[in-house]
Amino acid sequence: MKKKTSLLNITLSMIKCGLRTRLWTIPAVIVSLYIVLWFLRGAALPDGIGNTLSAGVFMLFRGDMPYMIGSGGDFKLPIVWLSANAFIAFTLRTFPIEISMLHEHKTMLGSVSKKRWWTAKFITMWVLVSFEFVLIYTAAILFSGINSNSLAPGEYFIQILLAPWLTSLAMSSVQILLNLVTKPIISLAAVIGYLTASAYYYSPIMIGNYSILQRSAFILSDGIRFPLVMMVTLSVVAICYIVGLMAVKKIDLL
Amino acid sequence: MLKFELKRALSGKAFLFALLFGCAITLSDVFLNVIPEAYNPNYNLDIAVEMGIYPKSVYNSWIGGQARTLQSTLFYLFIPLIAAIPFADSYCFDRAGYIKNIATRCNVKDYLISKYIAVFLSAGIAVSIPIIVNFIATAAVVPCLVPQASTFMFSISARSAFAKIFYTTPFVYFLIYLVIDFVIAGLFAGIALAVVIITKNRYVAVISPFAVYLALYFISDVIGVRSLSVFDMVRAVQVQPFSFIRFVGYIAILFAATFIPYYVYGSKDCSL
Repeated sequence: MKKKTSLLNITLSMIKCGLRTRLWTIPAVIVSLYIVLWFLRGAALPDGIGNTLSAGVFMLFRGDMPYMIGSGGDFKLPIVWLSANAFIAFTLRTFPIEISMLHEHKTMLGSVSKKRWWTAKFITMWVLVSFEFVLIYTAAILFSGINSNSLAPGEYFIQILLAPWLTSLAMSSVQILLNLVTKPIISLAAVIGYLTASAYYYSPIMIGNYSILQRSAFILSDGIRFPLVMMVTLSVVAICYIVGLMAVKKIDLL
Repeated sequence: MLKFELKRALSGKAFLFALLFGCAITLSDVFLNVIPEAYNPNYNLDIAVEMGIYPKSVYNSWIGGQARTLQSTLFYLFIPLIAAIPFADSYCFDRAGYIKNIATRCNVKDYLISKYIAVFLSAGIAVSIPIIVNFIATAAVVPCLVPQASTFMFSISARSAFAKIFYTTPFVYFLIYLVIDFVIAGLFAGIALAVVIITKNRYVAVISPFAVYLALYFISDVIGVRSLSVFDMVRAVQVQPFSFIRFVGYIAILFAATFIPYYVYGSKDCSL
């Protein structure tokens, strides 16, 4: 009788593979972030954020104020915010495809249940997205500290760090779920299209808005409140996990 | 060889998918934005004339003539993806074994040039057809009124490129932008061919033109020179003034940076 691979083993194996193939992002993220933040450093920031450690992260995920549909004005895509999200989508969310191509993974699949495989994939995604965010945040916080010569975290430090991270986790969950049923190009286009739509439509249904920090309650009086961000993003993650569990039963993984 | 490659490019499911994807975006713009505006009882042609307002024209309502709708942003954002989907990853596919059959039966250089032309044309067609479909559908519900600069309803100013053409023969202006979009789409699809040098992954090859396009937009925004972005260059609304010299520069750089590495690498690869 075949010995079943434990959830911990398969998860660790996936994480190891993911981190190994993503080592190049460490210097790439640090160097590119420093260049980007250098160019953005002159931007006006709201009170309680400027000259604090939050400034760098805020500049990256600030996005734009809600677009007034029907005003006749041109819609300007918040490209810095979109690129930060697209970078995660390009580099990380395609990971399950890469791992599924590995010979060792295919061998492992023969001795693991589909439920465990999906759970491991989900956990791996969380770890890799978080790894990339830790990298982005560390570089941005260091830049802010050096640039402002201040160690004050700022009034909304935790919210500024958590909102883009939670939103990205939710979007990652949706993307890997879509990867189960469609080609990765289509899921990537769907996610970037959805993020663009979020920048266009200011609505709590469009969860991309949650990571646009200029639309948060601490900037706009009718902005998006942080408890809602937590509730919706975590619900999306849970729903994606459950739907994935059901879908994976019908899919031939090998 | 060229005929054969073109047949492969234009009869594939991927080409059909790219066309449907592009048309879905451009037609949704007509159904969700153009038609409701055209049939708005408070803003029809008679009322506009009565009130002394210049009515909507097809030239500020088609997908490239405005930057107000989500569909316009989405379509021009996805141009490199729509361009790359039909045939740009075919070289990656061919390298897996098919290329050996080609190399033993015909001239490899002919194959490589035919492949580039087929990728270029399929990308251009996949991007141009949805634009033409949108223009025709818009023209079916909105009059083709000649733009008037004094109405301030049109974004093209004296500083914009081809301004004289826009205000005299606007259809020619539309055709000029159709050609610009065709060429840009074709050249961006070529990036996927050049990327084969560094990766064998078809997925990476297809998204590489989109990644370059997004990176150019991002860099131009960060350094504060938006006119460098190709995203603004392909839009007839000219959010940023179009520069012909910059356009020619992009053509030269993109062609040299994609065709030369692809051709040199491909020649060596096929002869092995």
